[in-house]
Amino acid sequence: MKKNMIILETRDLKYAYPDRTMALDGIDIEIEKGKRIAFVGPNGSGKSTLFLLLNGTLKPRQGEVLFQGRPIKYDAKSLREVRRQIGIVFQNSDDQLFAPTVYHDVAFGPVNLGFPEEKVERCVNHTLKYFGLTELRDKPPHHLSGGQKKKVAIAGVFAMEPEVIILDEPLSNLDPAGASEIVELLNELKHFGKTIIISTHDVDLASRWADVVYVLNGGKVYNTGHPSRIFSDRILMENTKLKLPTIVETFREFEARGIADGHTPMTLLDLVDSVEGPYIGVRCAVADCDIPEGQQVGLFMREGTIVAVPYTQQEAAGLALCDAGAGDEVLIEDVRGSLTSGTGRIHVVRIPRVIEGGSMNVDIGDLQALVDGATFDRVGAMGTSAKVTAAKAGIHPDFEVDVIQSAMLLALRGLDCLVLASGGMAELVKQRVDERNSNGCRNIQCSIEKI
Amino acid sequence: MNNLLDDYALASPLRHSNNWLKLTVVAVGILGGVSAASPVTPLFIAACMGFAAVFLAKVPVKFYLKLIALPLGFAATGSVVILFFFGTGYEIASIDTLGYHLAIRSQGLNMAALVIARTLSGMCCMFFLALSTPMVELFSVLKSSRVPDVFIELSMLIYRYIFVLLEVAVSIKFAQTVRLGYKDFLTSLHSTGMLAGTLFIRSWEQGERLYIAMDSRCYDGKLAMFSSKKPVKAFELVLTSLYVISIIAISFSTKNMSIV
Repeated sequence: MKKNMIILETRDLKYAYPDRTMALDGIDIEIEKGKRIAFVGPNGSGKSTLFLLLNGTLKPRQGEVLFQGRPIKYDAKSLREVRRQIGIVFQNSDDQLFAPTVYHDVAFGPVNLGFPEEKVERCVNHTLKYFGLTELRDKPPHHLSGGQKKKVAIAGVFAMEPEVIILDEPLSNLDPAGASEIVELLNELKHFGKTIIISTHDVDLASRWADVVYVLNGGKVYNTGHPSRIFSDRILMENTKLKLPTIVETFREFEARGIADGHTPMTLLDLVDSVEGPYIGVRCAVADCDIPEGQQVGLFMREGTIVAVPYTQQEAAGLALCDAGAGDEVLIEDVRGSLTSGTGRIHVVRIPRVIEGGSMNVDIGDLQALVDGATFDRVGAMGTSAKVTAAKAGIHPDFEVDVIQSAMLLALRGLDCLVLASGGMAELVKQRVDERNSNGCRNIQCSIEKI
Repeated sequence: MNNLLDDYALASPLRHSNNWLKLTVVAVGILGGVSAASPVTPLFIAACMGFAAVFLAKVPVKFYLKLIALPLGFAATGSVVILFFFGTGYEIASIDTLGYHLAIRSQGLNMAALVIARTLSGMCCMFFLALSTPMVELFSVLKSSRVPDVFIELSMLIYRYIFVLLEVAVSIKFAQTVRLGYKDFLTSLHSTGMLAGTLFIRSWEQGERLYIAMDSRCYDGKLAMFSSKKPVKAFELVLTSLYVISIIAISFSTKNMSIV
């Protein structure tokens, strides 16, 4: 770990509330640039206090906060610079949205940074467009839904172009659709090289989203590391009143029954991988014709499901456990061989980012022809400009959340996926698929096309 | 919370018309109405404003009538008093009750009609403004008329947090109601007191959080205030001139007119 990569760190940070309870009792953290950090811990563990110390709102009783290697100074001028660089999004959006309209609120930061009027306008319009909020620009905050308020709050911070964005409980009080939209947004921001810090009680979110997890308890850093290390430690979780992520719990139960092994999975894809392959000797398939009990059958993937036919040199084979008619489900035991031959492919189409003109620079006709011409089973969209472009072309994406993982899961079931991805996200998809392929997992084909 | 005047103003197509034009229309209306000697001018103004609110600002007629009915009710009760107890002139009608002689005299009748007409015109003007110009627009008017920033910013923040605190108040009240906080008069008094107290503390805390939030975004004594340029359209200008000229003309020609 190179020292100059660390953007934010604290040394022996101590802070006490006026009633002398220690809120933070010697916190040492080192946050690398461009990483996604999650702070987890029970209520009252000091997460919010730590955040207010990180951007200089509170002054520590002891210790120091270092931004880009230099200790924060607490005079007005230095604080302004720190706050510009370290944006903070509060848990309750109403605390943060104080201007009469969305436009005014997003403009608040840039105006106070002293930008000239034209620059403010350009900056705000771009931010609104990027966050998909242009339609709401003249609305007052009390006419917005919870998810929209949260988006505006993030946009208001983003407009100041900070290096680090801190979000206190970004998903609290949001419905699942709103929550996944915010998660996607955070991933997109990470792609811009921003360092993103969140606090959350949601271990499922922290485990699949974060690069580094800090567990806070009683004002101290209880533990830190990659989520797969933190969340596989049952004792650590119990001591800090946190629960294990659902995926980890599921894996534990599978492991105990001997149908999964390997590293503790953090994502659905990891979990699927851990139960793939030789561990399952019994499979459920759909019979393609009448199959009597005890017959040897060949297995292959068709349209995402396993199909059983009388054995003729298929790569995977087994014995039918029961009688089945055509179209019935049938249990197959003694499954041998591999079902990989049916792995689908992922075709990524790179859509220009909002900055590059977004959907305006896409030939919608070409895109429609591509979708109509090729035989894709599912279409996914990733990033703001890709979603807008899809809507323009009359394409209804089947998946917009966790796109890379969803595409790989579908490909493993033998389905071909088309992924529309904004800008650099296209390369990210390929990179992630290649990473997976090089780990010796079942190979997935992935290709990129620019449009 | 659905019937706030500001919500109608935000949705109104007139929201994007020039603010000064709207203010001129309203100012002329109010002055014209108040200075008129006969009820004709105020009634004409009220009709114009009503028309503008319903057809140009697209306010639902039913809602508008309800809105007007409220101040009109007050004016009507006031006028009854004026009708019976004011003025000289010949008697138009009279009632004898319980030994009292109550008479409606000509001047009293004229005065009562004028009061009602003026109230109506004034209210119609104010409602037109309220229904076509959201607070946000008024803030930029204040800004361009060189009102000190401090006042504008304070009113912007107050305006914004009215809604936040209103929501808090509604939910506290609901929480009290479901636990029988308003079952009889005494309990209601007690609950209302608690509501007010809690609301005070909440707004105090809200203020502190607001301060931190503003500080975190580099607050430097500047809230964004842009009056987006809204050119006056020719059609609007013609309509306004017609309106002003008609008011002046009617005012002069009906100067000595009275109903009796």
